[in-house]
Amino acid sequence: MRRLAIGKKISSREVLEDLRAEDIGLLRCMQCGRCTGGCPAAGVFEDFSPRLVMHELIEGETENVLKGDMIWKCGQCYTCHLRCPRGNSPATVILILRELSLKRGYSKDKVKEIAAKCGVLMWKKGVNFYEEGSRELPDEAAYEVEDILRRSGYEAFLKALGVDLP
Amino acid sequence: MSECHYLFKSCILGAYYPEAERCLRVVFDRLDTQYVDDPAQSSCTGHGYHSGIYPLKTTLEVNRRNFSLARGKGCDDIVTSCVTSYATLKEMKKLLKDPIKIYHGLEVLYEHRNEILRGLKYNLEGIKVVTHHGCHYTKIFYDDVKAGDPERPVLLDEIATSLGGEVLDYSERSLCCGMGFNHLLLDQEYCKKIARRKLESIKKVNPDLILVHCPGCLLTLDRFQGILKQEMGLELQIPVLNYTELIALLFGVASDEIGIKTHHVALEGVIERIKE
Ligand code: SF4
Ligand code: SF4
Repeated sequence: MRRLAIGKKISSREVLEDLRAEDIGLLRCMQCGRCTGGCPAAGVFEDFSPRLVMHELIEGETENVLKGDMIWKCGQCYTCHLRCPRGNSPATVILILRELSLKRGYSKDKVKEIAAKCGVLMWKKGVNFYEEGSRELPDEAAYEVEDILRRSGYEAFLKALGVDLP
Repeated sequence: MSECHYLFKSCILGAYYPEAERCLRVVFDRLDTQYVDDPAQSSCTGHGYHSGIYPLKTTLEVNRRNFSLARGKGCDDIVTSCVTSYATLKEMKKLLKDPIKIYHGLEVLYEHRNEILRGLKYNLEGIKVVTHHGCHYTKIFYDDVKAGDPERPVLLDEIATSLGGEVLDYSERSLCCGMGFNHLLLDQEYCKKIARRKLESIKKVNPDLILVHCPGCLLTLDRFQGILKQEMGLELQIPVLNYTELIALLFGVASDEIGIKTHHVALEGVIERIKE
């Protein structure tokens, strides 16, 4: 029944169609809350819990999750992924949801600043972090990476966020 | 593991702790471990990927290139100096069904732990150590953890003990360091609260140093001690060392060559005690 209920919701189907959803037990979640029990972010933010993210998905409230703040509060530590007794991975589901949320045009304010730093550095220098004089790619390699970024849709991704490329 | 490793460099170490990464090369050289240091290797995108600023497709394609560079250099494994690179490359390898093997630098040194002992100029006798294994090493591909249990990995513990140190337990051993990817680059509320929980639990057992193997953990546990002092008046001052820095130091590499100036918490005191 639960499988059917999820399948009906187009947005949830998109979650399930992501390559990364293939071997995680997204639909096996039994709402036990073990993920939340060990989640550092749930201890910091009162309104955040990986169990709740899973609950919203199961209830077909994916669109609300995509519009909301919750998915941006996770610290990506994967404790939930390690401990879930059903082999589910809220951490991975959250990454899928982050991508979907941006694809829908939501959450720009959550990442624009980061993309303007790390994303632009990746574009120019092939690294996520850079300090004056630190390691960067030689020109030829940097062009190769830039070409890959462009072809994989990253230029369009950054533009949609409102990040200007140099 | 193959004869020649493709050394996968970290963005965070490159920018903030370059000597900590250089130390991995120094230690490999001393152990006669062959590696290729390819300037064309790009970031795996890992930090940004987990912050949500790279779509999966981009991360896949960027690393397809890195895998082919490694193969082009005749390497059939990649050894990373970062745990997020380790997990990101493993995830992309799996999704791309690429045969390349991925290891973390600590795993290579763990394999060579007996040879390390033969090259020591100093040891850790009388030094109390706590360890923190990076979440992206222990919790993502948890079946691959080389020593101990994913809930209680002991690679760093066994290395520290074999070097003569005393490893102390602490209550928040399995807690994240607080780095939190997007959180680190935004308001840092998560980072401050989690780093505080972690560091206060460490402070209770009063170690001489915290031993890590992840650039993000090194950055967070080291630099947030300053932020927590400034904002909350917390007095911690616990030196944090990357495993590469520690082993290079014990091999006799000079303090300024292991990059003590890049650290926020002063290392001079503990280094002096090690050299006594
Ligand atoms: S994701 Fe796993 S741990 Fe979390 S509530 Fe569902 S079954 Fe329990
Ligand atoms: S990955 Fe996110 S949701 Fe899972 S335990 Fe860590 S902070 Fe919580």
